[in-house]
Amino acid sequence: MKSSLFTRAAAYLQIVSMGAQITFVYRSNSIFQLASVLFQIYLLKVIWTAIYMQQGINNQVHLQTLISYLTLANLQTWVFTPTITEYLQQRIRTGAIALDLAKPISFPGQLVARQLGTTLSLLPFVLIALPLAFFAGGLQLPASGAAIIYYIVSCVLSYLVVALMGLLMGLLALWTFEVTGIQFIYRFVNQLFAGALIPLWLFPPILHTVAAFLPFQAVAFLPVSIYLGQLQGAGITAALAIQLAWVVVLYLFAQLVWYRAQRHIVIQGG
Amino acid sequence: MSIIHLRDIVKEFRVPKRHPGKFGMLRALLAPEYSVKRAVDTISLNIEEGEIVGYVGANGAGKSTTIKMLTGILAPTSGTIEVAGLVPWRQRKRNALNIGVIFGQRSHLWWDLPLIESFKLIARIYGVPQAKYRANLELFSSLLDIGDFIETPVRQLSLGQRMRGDLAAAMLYEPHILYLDEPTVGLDVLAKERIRGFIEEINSSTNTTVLLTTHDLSDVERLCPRIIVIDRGRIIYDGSVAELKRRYTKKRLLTVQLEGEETLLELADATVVRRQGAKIWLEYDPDAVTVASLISAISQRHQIVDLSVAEPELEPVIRKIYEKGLHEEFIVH
Repeated sequence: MKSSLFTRAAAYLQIVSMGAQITFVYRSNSIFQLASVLFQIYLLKVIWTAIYMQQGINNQVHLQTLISYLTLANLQTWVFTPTITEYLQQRIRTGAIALDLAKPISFPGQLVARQLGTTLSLLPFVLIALPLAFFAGGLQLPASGAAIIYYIVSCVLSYLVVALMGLLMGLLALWTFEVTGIQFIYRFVNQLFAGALIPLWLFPPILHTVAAFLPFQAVAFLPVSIYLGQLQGAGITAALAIQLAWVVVLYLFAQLVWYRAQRHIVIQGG
Repeated sequence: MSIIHLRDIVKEFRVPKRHPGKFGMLRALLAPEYSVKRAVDTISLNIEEGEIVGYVGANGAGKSTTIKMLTGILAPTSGTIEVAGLVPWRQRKRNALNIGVIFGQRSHLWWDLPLIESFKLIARIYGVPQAKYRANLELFSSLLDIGDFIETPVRQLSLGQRMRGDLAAAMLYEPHILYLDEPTVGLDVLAKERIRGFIEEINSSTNTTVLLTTHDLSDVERLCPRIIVIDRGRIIYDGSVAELKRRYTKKRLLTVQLEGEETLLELADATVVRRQGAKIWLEYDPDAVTVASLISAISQRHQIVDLSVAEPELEPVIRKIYEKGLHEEFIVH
């Protein structure tokens, strides 16, 4: 029996399906997560509405747009949470990675397929969430027909950035055995620099520059800005180019780290 | 050409040194020092297609390290290794198509999902044609009796059921070689027997080569004509189980129960090693005297109520080897 392109595709599809089934097994967990996201959206709406009531704020962006931005950015950050990291850490700790490596298909491939399954299985929850999110926060329609198409493209790139960052963090566990601390930092930095709490256009200049050099803006800020029509024409092209660049950079970096990781395992036994 | 071929294989690991005292941890963090630990020390062996070989040694002797090198997830420090014509650590994924692996303490199966989902995945990963998949599933259902729990999530299975599931998963794509690292660990007698029966069956029907590591020597006695004993990274015995026993079980034990308790037994060719009421344990040398003549000598003078001859067992032999090494002469009974 051999491993052709076709059988490999079938194997990855099965992993996607199994990843999705696991979310379904633990569906109450997803419902709790969703409730917490909706609550966060509601709180952000209350806080930002109060801030907008203050005098002297530079509110170049309409409050309704800001709330739509926060609603969408938070939903998206939730659906795009990397699960690879925790899973990989667990495989490394228990030594089960030895079994994963004794399979004829790529291990990072198995991981990404599993992550994709988890994410796809969250989409039904998003359908439930959208009307709720509309009431908790607010949501306006996409800026134009073109905006929704660019938004979808941008989401795909955003997703790749998230998956690659999750993979890179998980691989760190080979050297540190413990990545919970790193994940903690990631969650905080990601929420802040992806612009899920405060839109990046309100950042002070220095932080704004920092954010521009980090991959996190590719996660939520850029796609949501496209959706709301805050980026237009060349702005959209630039945003997609930045995202694509991050995908390429992170992919190459992940290749390098995976190569080192394999050497580490093969020589040190993990 | 042997299907598994190892020549002068050495595997060394770098282990960080620990320092005692207050600043030991700080030192280890800032200026780590390493010592080299040799897990496998110059091993050579050949296994022919269709053999079932027992690979035995104490904890930390290097068994699992050897298996990991054979699967390609560890590279040897030096030496040459070839499995079905491939160098496992260089051609890990291609090698993976030829082999099935079971690590008794770990599982291939997806914990949260019904067993059947893991089977489907294995079938796709290895490109098992639909017809063959069905036929094998049916075969394993009868051999391993997995039909009852195939729709049950793996986390709800008992250890014995899970191990049967793992074995089925490893054989679903009919690999030429099966590495079993402690497949019966923690299982009850019935579950063990079922697994042994399965190994025996697939070996005889498909000529699968099996390398079996275990701490349960009855696995080896039941399945393996050939045994390799490894101690501190070195192979100290490679040959037939029968020969190993013959070499180290010089004396045998005969137990007799005589009528009445007054009996005094004096025999030229055997010595009494233990006595409990009317039950007497006699030690004799099978090269000097046969059991038959011993028994007839006793029955001429006494009334025998019951008797048993102990078959030489592998376990005490191996235990002694672990304790003393093979170089020393010892006798076990």
